Amino acid sequence: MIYLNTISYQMMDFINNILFFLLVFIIIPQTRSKLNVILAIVASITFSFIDLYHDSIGILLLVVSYFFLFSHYKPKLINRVLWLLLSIFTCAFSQSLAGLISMKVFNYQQQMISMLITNVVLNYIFALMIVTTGIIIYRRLSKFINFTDPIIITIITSAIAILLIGFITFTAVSRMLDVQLEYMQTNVVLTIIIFIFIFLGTLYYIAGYLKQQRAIQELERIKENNIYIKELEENYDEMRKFKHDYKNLLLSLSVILKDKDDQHASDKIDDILKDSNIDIHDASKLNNPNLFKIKDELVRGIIISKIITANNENILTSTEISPNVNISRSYSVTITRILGILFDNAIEACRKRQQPILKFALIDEADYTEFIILNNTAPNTKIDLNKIFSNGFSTKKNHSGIGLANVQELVNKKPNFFLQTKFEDDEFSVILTIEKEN
Amino acid sequence: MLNVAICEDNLELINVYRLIFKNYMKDHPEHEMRIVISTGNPTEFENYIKYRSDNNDMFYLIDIEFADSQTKGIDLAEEIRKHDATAKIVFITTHEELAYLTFKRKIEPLDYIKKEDGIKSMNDSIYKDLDLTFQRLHELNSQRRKMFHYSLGSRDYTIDVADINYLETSSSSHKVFLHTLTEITEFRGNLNTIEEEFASLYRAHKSILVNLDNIHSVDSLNKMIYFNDGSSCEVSRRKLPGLKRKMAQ
Repeated sequence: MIYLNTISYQMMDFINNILFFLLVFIIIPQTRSKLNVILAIVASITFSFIDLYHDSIGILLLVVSYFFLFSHYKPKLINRVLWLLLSIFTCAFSQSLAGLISMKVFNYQQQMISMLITNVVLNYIFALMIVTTGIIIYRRLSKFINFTDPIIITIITSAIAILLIGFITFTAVSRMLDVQLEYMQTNVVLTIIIFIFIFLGTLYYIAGYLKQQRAIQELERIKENNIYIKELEENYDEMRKFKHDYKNLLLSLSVILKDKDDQHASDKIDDILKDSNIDIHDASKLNNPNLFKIKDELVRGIIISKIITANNENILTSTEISPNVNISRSYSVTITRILGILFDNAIEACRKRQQPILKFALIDEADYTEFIILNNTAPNTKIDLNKIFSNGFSTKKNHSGIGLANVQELVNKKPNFFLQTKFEDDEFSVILTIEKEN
Repeated sequence: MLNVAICEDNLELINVYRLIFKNYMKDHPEHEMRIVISTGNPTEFENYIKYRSDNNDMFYLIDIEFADSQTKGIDLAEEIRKHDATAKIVFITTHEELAYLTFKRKIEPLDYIKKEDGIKSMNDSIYKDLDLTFQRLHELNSQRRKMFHYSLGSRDYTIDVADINYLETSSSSHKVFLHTLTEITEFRGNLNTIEEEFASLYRAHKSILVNLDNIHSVDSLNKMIYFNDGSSCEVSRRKLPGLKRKMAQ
């Protein structure tokens, strides 16, 4: 009887050891190799013998042999630890659960063989179930969480380590007190509860960490953008200086040539000087770096979007913007509304012209800010400035003409907003002056 | 006497400009003028602006970008305006440096000359600008035009009173609306002080000052004043007789 007992226990130990390696192979597919399988089988048999004489030293040997599996595949140490902990925990937990159930169902004295078989089968079923569930959860979560981040791996590893230490301590204590069977149930239930808490806690922690990471990335991006804008600005300045110089050179060259009376060459130079194709300025009107440095998003947004609209309508646009314009937050909405109307009016009005032109300037001085919008109008247009502010008058045929009246109303509400409307030489301009409060 | 001051960092171009001015002097011996400074160094130029000793009328010809200096043409022009509101300023520069609207608003220059147009065209522009300068100086001296001043956001603006149709206050704010032949401008102020200063402006309404010189007709029935350019404003019944009397003078 004793003999059978020893044999069956050794068998069970062997099967459990094999389970450990099986789990390792499932969790880390890269370790699957003929050599490792042989190693696993040999180690399992050897350790089951050792275990007979030195109780629970087998688990330490398993841990040691685990690290021999990485002869070809060499992941980071923290990953190896994490996978080890996962395998041990799954193994230990499913073993407890299987032991608990089989001992409840079968009588320890009379139906020992059936109990052991049930134990082993259940052990495998539970372990595989846990691992499969784990892998499914991992795949789902990896859409949201970057599991290669070393900090996230450390968080998970510590969580599993705490869980495992708790579980092992509890088992060890109950074994020492020789009440293992009675406590097993409590142990399993407790472990499940603790696992759920730690799982949720870890998720929360990771979510917080990810949020922080995202904020840091955003900051980095803004920093990079600023560097880019700065570079753009420097390039732009360089380019301007260069063009200034070469045009000066061409001019002086034309002076020299005139003295020598070479009409052909000096005509050629005049042509080059006038060639607008060389002007980068005409390439894109949005390349004014100061435009992107206006600190107020609303105001910046309306200017950019209206300039783009105008460009799309084949209106020749130009922008002049003071560096680092700062707009008081309390005016931002009003300014944006006013600019929106003024731009729309200007775009509408200059479209009737053969070569429509829209110019915008933002002048920021110590004690005032000025927005200037200028457009050309169809030749010989007559505009009565006094009438355009009253509701209903507009040079546009199908338009309510409410625009400028609205602007005037908005300006009237602010004691430090001043409007200048000017119409001269087929050019219509509106200047909005805002006195800064001291 | 008109003083001409030139700032341009290309020395050969300076000589070209000097030659143009000298030719103009030869062609127009009736005008008194001289070149007081022509330099490629903006700092030297700035010192001239700050410390010049005479009271002659000024004509400035300024480039905008100077290769070896942080100072820009617009800084020089602002310095000029600080000391001299009537100085004639002409920018001579390449197209891409021209912040047209900003310069126009801040400096009110007489002209912009583009280097792209070539020497011949630059020559014509300078001639035209000098003609205009002498014409304006002559007008200023012969009939001492009345100028109307107002300030907006720490800057002062000047406008010929002859261009004003009427001034109006709004009841809600302390703003005065200035209606001229070409523009409507708001500024902070009140009609009483303006009325005292200008004899040609008449109080036609509690909140309206009209320029008698620009009135075309008065519609007594509808109590409306019509100006030469077709615009109109109200007149109060109480003020109608006074207005008619003034206009008859």
